[in-house]
Amino acid sequence: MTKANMASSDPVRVGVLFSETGDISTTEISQLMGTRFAVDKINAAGGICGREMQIVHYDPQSSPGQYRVLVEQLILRDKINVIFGCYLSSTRKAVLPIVEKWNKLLFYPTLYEGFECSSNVIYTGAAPNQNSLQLAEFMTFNYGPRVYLVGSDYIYPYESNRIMENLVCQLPGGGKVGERYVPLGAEYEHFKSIIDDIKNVKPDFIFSTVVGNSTKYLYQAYADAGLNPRIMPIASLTTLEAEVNQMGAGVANGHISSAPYFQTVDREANHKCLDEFRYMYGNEFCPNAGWEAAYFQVNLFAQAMALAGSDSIDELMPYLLGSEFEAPQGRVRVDPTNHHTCLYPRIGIFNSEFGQFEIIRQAKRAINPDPYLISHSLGEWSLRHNTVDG
Amino acid sequence: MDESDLRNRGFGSTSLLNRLRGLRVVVCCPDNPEREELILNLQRFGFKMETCWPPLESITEDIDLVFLAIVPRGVIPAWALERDSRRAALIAIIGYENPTIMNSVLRISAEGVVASPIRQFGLLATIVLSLQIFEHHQSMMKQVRRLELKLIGIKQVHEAKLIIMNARNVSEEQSYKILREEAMARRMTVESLARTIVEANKIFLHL
Repeated sequence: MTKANMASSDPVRVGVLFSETGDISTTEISQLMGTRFAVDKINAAGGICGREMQIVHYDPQSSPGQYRVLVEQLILRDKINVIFGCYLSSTRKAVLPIVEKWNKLLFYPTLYEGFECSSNVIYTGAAPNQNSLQLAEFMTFNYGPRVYLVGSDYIYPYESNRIMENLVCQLPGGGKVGERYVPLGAEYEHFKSIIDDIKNVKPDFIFSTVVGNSTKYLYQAYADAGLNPRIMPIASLTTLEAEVNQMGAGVANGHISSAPYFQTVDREANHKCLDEFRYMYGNEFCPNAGWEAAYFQVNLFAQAMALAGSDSIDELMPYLLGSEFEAPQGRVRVDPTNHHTCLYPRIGIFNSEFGQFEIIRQAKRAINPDPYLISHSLGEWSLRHNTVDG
Repeated sequence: MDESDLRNRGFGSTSLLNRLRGLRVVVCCPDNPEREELILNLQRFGFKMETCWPPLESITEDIDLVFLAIVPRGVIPAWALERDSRRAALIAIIGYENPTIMNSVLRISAEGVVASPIRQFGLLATIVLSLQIFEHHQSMMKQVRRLELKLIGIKQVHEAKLIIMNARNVSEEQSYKILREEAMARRMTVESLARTIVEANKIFLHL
């Protein structure tokens, strides 16, 4: 960072890479809005030590290649030190070597499959021990241990499905009874034969790792086939409010998701955030776990920068690691050993009457991230969660 | 095999390193900037390069080393799955470090692994160590096969001794003496004469 940049009145410019177009646009727009929301709030409160935050945003069009080009542009042309962005693991992987090469900092607000810990990244989404484990436990206990896996065709679903299979196999009679993949950007037609197969195989539940704008077609095909979510629901880590918005509440009714945040989290910090967000941007955009992580990670950055007085990674990092923030989901903390975040696992079942996920399980305390856990064990979480009425 | 044997066979540090220049290498990897970087580095080392994608269906005998990109859920060629019959050392190129990818690396029994994007530093060390592990494995396999044959030979000599003991009504010691002298007279090894006797006896019993 140059001397001129350090002047106390200069704006703090940060890079933002979320897609407004392409297969993953719905989810990434939520994350973009969470980022904007945090920045606007910080500026309204006087900025970072009086310095205004400015966003330099590009649309990477859900493409790893575009992510690669644009992150280089942010770093080399725009002289950006801190970047907020990425949803798909493939786009994070495209960005990472460039961020590491120039020693910049990436905040990544998305659940992912784990097995990474870059010194140049702060991971604010759930690791598998913060969402998959809880979902497997809830689903197998309430519906049974035979799972049918449906996912988008890339690394996150493969690894997520491996974890789910590993978990259900710990139970008597448990196992994978089907596994199918569709391309990113799959259409309704892709899911028809899968739903037919599911009707034949009759699993206890379906685990969806379909991501992005295709998600709605899976649930639509399920509904059109007349399947009953009370008996054989779809469980997911990625079907959250933004995706439900796309498919319509009726289609989502009764299906189950696991995430650290739902709009229905009953905490003062969340109510306040949602009210402010809707007041500032209206009802067009859809808060979800990605939105919330995007929101709190900007705040983690702003707190650290206020203390460090610089946005260079080396000066920021000591203030980031171990730092805490009162997020809508609860008080989160960056784990200093692995750069991931302590989060609050929750299980929500979509209720079309309220048009929201009803939270039916939630962790009493934040769960520490464990991104390198290979074999998860069922039964470890049940001792530590509250059952919410319902 | 003692240490000097190993050195003569090429496991000693000097001879392996001397053979590096001119190493024949195939890179099976989709065309991307990472592949370009890898090839550039391998050319700097003085290797003879070939690239291909999708992976070759077979590896010719003149190849010393193969780099194979691990594509999640991608097709793994048959030669990569059979370490014992593989003729070249194998290094996996991985883009992720999760168990899904690790399982693929374990399935192909690669001698080494490099992470993509490739960093120049460490690449040569990985190559050298992979070649050593591969050659060591090859030589161990050869030895195992030799010992297996030896073991079968010993078993057959023992059986042949019993046959002679019964037929001639002699002691074990005398039986072995007969066997050895007969082998010398016929200019064959004791093992192969024993095998002939065992086989002949089998036929005789079935008559």
